[in-house]
Amino acid sequence: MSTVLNTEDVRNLRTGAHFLTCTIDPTAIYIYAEMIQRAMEGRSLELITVDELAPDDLVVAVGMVTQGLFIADMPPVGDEFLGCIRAIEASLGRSVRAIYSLAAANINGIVPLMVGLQSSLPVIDADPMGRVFPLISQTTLNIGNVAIGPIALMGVTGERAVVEVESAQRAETLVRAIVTELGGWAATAMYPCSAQQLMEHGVHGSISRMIRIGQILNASTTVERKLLLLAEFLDSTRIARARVSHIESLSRPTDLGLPAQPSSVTLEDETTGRIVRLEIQNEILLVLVDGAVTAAVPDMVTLLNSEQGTVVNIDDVQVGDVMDIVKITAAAQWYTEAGLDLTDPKAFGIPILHPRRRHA
Amino acid sequence: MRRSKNETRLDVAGLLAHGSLRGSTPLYLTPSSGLIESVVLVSQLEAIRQVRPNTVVVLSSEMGSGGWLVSAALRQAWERRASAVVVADGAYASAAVGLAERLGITLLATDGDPAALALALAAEIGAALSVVDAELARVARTVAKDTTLGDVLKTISKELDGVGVSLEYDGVVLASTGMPPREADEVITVEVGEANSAVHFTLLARVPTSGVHNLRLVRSILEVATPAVKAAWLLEDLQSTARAVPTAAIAGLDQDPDASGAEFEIKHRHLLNQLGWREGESYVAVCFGSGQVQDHRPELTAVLRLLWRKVTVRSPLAEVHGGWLTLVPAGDQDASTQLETRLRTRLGPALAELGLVAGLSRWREEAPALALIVREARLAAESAGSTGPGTVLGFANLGVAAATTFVDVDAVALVAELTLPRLMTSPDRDVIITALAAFLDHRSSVSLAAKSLDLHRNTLQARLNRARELGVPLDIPSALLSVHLIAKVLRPPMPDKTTSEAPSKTRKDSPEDAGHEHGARLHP
Repeated sequence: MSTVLNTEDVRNLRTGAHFLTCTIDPTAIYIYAEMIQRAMEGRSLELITVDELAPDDLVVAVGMVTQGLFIADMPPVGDEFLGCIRAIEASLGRSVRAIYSLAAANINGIVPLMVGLQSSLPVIDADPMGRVFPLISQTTLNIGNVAIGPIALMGVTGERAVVEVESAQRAETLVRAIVTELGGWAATAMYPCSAQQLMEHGVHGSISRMIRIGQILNASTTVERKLLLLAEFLDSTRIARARVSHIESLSRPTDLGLPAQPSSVTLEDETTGRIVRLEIQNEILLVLVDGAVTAAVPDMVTLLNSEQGTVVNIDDVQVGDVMDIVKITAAAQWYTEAGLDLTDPKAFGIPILHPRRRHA
Repeated sequence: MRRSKNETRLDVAGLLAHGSLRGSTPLYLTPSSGLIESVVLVSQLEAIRQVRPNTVVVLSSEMGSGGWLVSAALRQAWERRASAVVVADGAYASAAVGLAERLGITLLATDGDPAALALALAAEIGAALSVVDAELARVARTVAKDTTLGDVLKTISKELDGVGVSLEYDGVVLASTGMPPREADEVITVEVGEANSAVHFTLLARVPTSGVHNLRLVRSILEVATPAVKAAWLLEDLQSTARAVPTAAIAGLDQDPDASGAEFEIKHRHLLNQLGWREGESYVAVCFGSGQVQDHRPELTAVLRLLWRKVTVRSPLAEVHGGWLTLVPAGDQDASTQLETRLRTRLGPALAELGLVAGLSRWREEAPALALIVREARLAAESAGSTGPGTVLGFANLGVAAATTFVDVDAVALVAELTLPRLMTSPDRDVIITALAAFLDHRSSVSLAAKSLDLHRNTLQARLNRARELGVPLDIPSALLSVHLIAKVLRPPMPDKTTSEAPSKTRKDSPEDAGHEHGARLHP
């Protein structure tokens, strides 16, 4: 069922996209949200479900791929995504009928709305991650053997590349190299597939979920009430309310080609004395409570300010802060053998068994 | 193991002070120094899940570094009750130290190569184990010098600082020494027995749970002492068998149960003298058995001999047809009474466990023939058999009542079924049989019998008349003994009367013996 989004939805979507990653720097999300809200004054934005399309309609994922540079440091010109979609259409000789997000959080959770407004294409309420992962190969479409290519990339300079590639792992290497050359980030369109393929192998309801999370967090109510509503909606659990006691950076080797600086935060649960340790690399990958694995990627972990219930930016964490550590279960595809192979802690260079594997 | 126990016990504090852990920095030390029994060098976190308790877990340098790794390693080591976790210096964070403190597990940092530390520690543990081996060899030599079972057990106990050590068979303590057992003791057991032997003894040490004993070491000591235990037991059994030959001979020679004891004595005087039996000396014969000849288990000989030592060590126990026999010198009646009391108190429970009973002959001043007292003891043992395992019965308390114990109750019941069908099918059968039994018990006195049953004499008289109507030949004197027997056998249980201690009543008055499925047996 299609929905016409309003500016309030975009504000909530912004909060939801931030909540699901507690990203290092949310500036870009805010910039995009503001641009989208302004653009919506003149035209409407349609959110559709994938079953509203014909099964063989061509759909494509849009998203930013960054390599060390914050998008806010070098803002896009504005035509990058349109250029990518045209390149895909030229390469395949077919028109794109709808677009979907590359990820269901962070900047890539919100970018498709802007692209939808620019291109007048409907935005599908689905994505291939159900969260955000740092690698473009870490998708449920990849698990479902949906081809990643051709991939179109366009940078701020107006240069454009189309990579015709089969393997998602190989695409990872090629795309990273091109993105570096394009200046540190690139707008991309990838995983061109039929609506039927997305229906079968995607994660559905991603954008509406972010909007609902935003509604909960932006409501003027108590933190406890917000946590309760989130727990009901997302089946999330609060691991601990704890005070930051120690922050370390570079606690793990970084030669794995993964795009962010690893760091660790240690917190102490002041009521129970439990020691909580967060391992961070782009996002929170691992939570140890008294040394025992309590959450591990692909589980999502986010931090909330214990007083306001607002999302905490990892970069802003300071010793002495008290926060709620919330665990959210990821899409079911990620807990299959193939899903864990792509995204469990070992895929991020942490040689520890995911608890679901241990009990399998 | 007095001397070596502390020397061979490696712990974290000791090795930090003057051992292979000396160069490492204690980041957190538990208040009580952990015991060290082994060391592992791990390069994968999952390997810690397999370590044994009291192991030092050394994280190899190729495992990488990072607080998360140390945290997870601490957790897994703690779950496995490891002694300590050793990490490379610089690989830890202060937060990990907090976790070590919270979990209560020692965390050490080494500035050298963790692998080198693990090797040095392994060598030290190996050296300590070789000291243990030397000590075990010393213990083996010491116990090998002991020739009696009691001495062997005492030596083992001494080596273990006086802990309780015992030899048991199927839960029956055959010999014990050292501290008496307590509830909280940790029991270490080692099997003692030949592969083809039906008898398996268990050697037990009851170690207080104070923690000063290394339980594995205690087990090792028991294991090295096992051959000495077995040798001492076999030697004692062999000696007992040799010493028991004269006793066995009496049972073997007395093949004519109809002959009087005096005839036996005259016939075998020369042989008895040669065997060492002296005329005119008083003995009490003790016979052990299961109460039923066909249940005789010769494999229990060794067990019973060890138990018999608790009563007396001088009189050897002979294995004879259908049981075991011994002749104990008894100068007077008191000695005989004491013997019976000792048997009952020291062996009664063990006999019950083993399903055995014991019978004693009477003590008499005129020193009766040995064959006679052996027969008395046998009869007493067989009577005791019908009372149940663990019974110790003296023939003196049995007297002529012994005869009734040899009545085949099944046969008597069958006779009653066939000859008194009307009585047997009568609905008031039990009442009538009870009345009959009481009447005959009281020498046919209606008044006394009625009183014993708490009835009016007219009621009893009416029941006796009813018995006559149902065909009971109550007025034919020659049939009275048989009627009495039938009444005794068929009399229903009387729950208000407890089993009498008096042996003369054990069979016929005890509730369970009044039933007819019990103890069917003809004359032996």
